[in-house]
Amino acid sequence: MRVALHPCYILHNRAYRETSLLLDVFSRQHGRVGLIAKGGRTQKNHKRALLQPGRRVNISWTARRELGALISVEPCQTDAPPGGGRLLSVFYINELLVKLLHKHEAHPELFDVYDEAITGLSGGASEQVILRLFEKRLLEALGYGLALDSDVEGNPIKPNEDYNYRIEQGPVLYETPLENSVRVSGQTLLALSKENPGKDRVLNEAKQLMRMMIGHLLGGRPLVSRELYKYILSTHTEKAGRK
Amino acid sequence: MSESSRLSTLIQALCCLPGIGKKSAQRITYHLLQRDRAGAKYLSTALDEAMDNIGSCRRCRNFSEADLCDLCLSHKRDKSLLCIVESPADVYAMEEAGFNGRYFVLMGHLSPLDGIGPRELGLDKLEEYLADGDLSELILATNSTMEGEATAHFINDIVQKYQIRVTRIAHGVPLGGELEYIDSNTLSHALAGRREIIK
Repeated sequence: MRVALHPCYILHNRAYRETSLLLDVFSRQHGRVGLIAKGGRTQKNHKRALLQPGRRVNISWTARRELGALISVEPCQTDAPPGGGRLLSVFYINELLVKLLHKHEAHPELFDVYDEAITGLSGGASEQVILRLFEKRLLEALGYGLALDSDVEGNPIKPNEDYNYRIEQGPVLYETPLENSVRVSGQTLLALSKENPGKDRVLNEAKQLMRMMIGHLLGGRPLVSRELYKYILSTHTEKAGRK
Repeated sequence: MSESSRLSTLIQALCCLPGIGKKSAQRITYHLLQRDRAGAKYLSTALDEAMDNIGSCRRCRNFSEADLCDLCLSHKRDKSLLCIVESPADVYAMEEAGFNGRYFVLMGHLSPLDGIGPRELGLDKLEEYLADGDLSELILATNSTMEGEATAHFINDIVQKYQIRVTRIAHGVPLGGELEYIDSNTLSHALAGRREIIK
């Protein structure tokens, strides 16, 4: 199979042999594919700058077996890729895709969602909002979309009530803390449904909810990129403690 | 034609070298056996000695035989400058470039998908270093890749509490480079980092 210049993102690259690169690529029509870029690490190779995560590119490749071979890569005219502290978020969403998507499973709608998240991260929009919306749409694309408009009994969600969001079931009116569930307000569920989680309380509750859902999908596998946030947070609280 | 088992073990062992495949390993093996047995003996003892005695420096994590490496012990070096690099090969490159401070070697870069986090990079050691050193500047010389960049920002974030000046090496047009052939991203970095011509 030969694929001509096709919109892609590099999720991860790894040195392979002396001068080659192994790429984990997220393509629009072909899902996640593994490619080898021969000579991708040589000094003269200008492709190297393009084969970085977080940058939209067009890639041609051929694939006979599991691992394909990169033929060419060209830049895509978009904004500059995310930089600075926001690269941690790129690590995070890339790790989610690598751990949750099967190879060769096409998700064009998820590609557009990813594209939007990366574009958002390159701009000035709130990182928390971008990540929560990405997580919500990722769950939808994987077939685990959240029930946000009505509770398990089919009653519409009321903004002033609190709910227990139960894994694989949905929201039930809050009475006492339950196992495998997280307490969220109706306001948060509705804000997520409208994709407008702007308020601090909504964002915090949405984070807990997504953490539970994604943790469930990962089946106990840890997310190393989350450790990075934790590490930064711990050094900052240490600093605050010293003061 | 079957090769003796020692011969094939040696060929297989040589394959662990970077860039050496089966064919090259075979060529090297025959060369050593036919023409340079003394050289091969010398190589094997040197390898043995090196593997037994080279560890890493307690302070900068670079390869060292002693507890502290020569660069950390030297009085001639500027103690107020600390340069953070990804690998021992980068230390060599910085030395060639004439840097005269000290180093801290991460032995990699942040890469969650490979399971490499702050602990693997010895950032707790770096914090110890910063806590007891009298540094005036920390130079982040990680690679200009997405991971290198993320590592630099990460370190910048966690060392804020020490109130040290943190700088990142410049990136842009290479010497002898022609703008026409430089990718747009590099050029936009170069443009963002432009500065006045020194008179």
